[in-house]
Amino acid sequence: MDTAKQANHRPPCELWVCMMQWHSNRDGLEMTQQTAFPNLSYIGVDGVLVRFGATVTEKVNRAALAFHAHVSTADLDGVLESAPSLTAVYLRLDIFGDVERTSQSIEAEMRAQDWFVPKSAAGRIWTIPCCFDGPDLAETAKLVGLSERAAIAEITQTQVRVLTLGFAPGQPYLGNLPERWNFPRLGGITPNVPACALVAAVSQLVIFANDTPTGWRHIGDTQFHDFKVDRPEPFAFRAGDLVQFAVVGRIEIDALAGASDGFGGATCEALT
Amino acid sequence: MSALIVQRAGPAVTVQDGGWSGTLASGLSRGGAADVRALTEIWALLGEQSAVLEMAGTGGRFTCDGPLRIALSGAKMAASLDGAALLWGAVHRMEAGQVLDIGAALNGVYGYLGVGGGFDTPHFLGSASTHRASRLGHVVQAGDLLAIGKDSKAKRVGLALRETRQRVGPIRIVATAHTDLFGAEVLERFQAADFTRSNQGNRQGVALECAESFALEGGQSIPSETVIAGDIQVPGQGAPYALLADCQTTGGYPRIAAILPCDLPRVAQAVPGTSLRFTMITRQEGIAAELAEHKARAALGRACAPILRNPSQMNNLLSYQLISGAIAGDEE
Repeated sequence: MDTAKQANHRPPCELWVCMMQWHSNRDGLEMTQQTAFPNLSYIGVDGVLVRFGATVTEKVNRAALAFHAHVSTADLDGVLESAPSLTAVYLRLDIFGDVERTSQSIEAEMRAQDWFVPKSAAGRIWTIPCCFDGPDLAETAKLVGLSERAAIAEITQTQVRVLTLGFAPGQPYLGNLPERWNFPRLGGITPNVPACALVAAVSQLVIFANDTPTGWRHIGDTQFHDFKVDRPEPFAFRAGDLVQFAVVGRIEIDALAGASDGFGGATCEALT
Repeated sequence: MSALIVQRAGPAVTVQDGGWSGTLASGLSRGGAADVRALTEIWALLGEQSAVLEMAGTGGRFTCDGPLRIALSGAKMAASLDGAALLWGAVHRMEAGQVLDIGAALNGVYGYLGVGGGFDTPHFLGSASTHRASRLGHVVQAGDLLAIGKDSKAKRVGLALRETRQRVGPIRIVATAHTDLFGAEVLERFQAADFTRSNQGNRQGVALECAESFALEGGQSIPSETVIAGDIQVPGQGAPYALLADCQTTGGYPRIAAILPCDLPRVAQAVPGTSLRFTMITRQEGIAAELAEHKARAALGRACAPILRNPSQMNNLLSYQLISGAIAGDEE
């Protein structure tokens, strides 16, 4: 249990007032002025982006998800759609309405509360069977400085969170793993990593929605389909869901491929 | 209920409509027709908003098992019914047993075929659009029997879109996520530069080749954020890339600008080798242009006019048919 707690420990959160403002000049990007987060900027003709930080941290991501959850239920006049990413929330506006007024009401919501204050942990937790025998497991363990066994244990003892969904329908970015998992993606591209594969890089894990060429390291296989069109909930995950992996063997994981719901033996419980 | 029978189909004939709204948060982009203007033209011709066939590069050969209305728009393709040339940008009647041939695109990438009653193919969350990476929708293949819904406007045939002056000149762009980071000097260069639509492109996006680089130093440290169709990404190396309907929903490349939605069809329809230039307008000007375009699209239906059978046009059409095998090569 102690190990589990340690694995779950996260470093203290970064300053929410980020000192960085990129500014382009002949010498490249420079930090020239203080930018306060959150802030709002316009994206194209019909979008605004509310940014909560310049780097992906637990606190920044949680704030973005909390704001997304709020605007998704607040039913703001003139907002057609909201989508969170790792550090920000994109909102699409109705250009037949008063775009300036809609932007002002979004900004007012943004200022109305401190989104960096942790909210109650209502949500869901998934337990997903995974066979850790991927072709990149040995090299990954070496990168994080652990034995294969210890590397697997560190993953299964960490409750990761769905930081955002993206790239492909329903595909989760899960994080964060402890800092030693903060290794870059491969320089080359692995031509084809199969759907349902568990891959790792940059302190995050992804369960691939589709067969895909990738620079992420393939460490295991689930039979979990992020997206299945004929399921009552076609997109399995919601941003903010917790995920814990459970070790199973090759024979067991192959047998789970037959699960008609496409969840590959995973269970989902509501957190109270 | 009748059906369209696919005798032969090009490699990228798909069912499309207006795409999705509200799925970005789940990782599914807007999708839908690559040329939304052409889609609304088909809808105006048919007098209904239904799913259509999008034909990238080339169409196919189709028959039907009952009388049908067919509407054609988007990139012009050599089309004929039982060998007689069909006017593009128009709605026609097709009888059971007739053979509809749609050849290669002559002046763009995406041609569209709509039918009265619409294609009755699988829907997901309110859209029949085909999104290949998600295995959504339907990729049309030879042998398909595409079910068609009930046509409530069967008499609306023999109409053509009034010739509208195609907008020429630079593609209009507006500021987006990282425009400020690039700085005034780079934005000036971007608007002065000549781009070429490269060979690399599909429904996800197209690469825009240029002799100069617009790379943002330090750009790789930008966190991945939501991206949408129309965004122009500038990777550290390689050509800027304009995102289209089936783009991914998140991306970590800096984005220099967003193409105005009503100008995006011109980029989607640009064949490899086409020269493109960009000009930045304000967001307010962009909104005004969008509203004007919506108004123009809403008026398309009323603007449809009976097909004129004047001799010069007939001759022209006949000539198209006579040299149909050779025409793709002579066009531009």
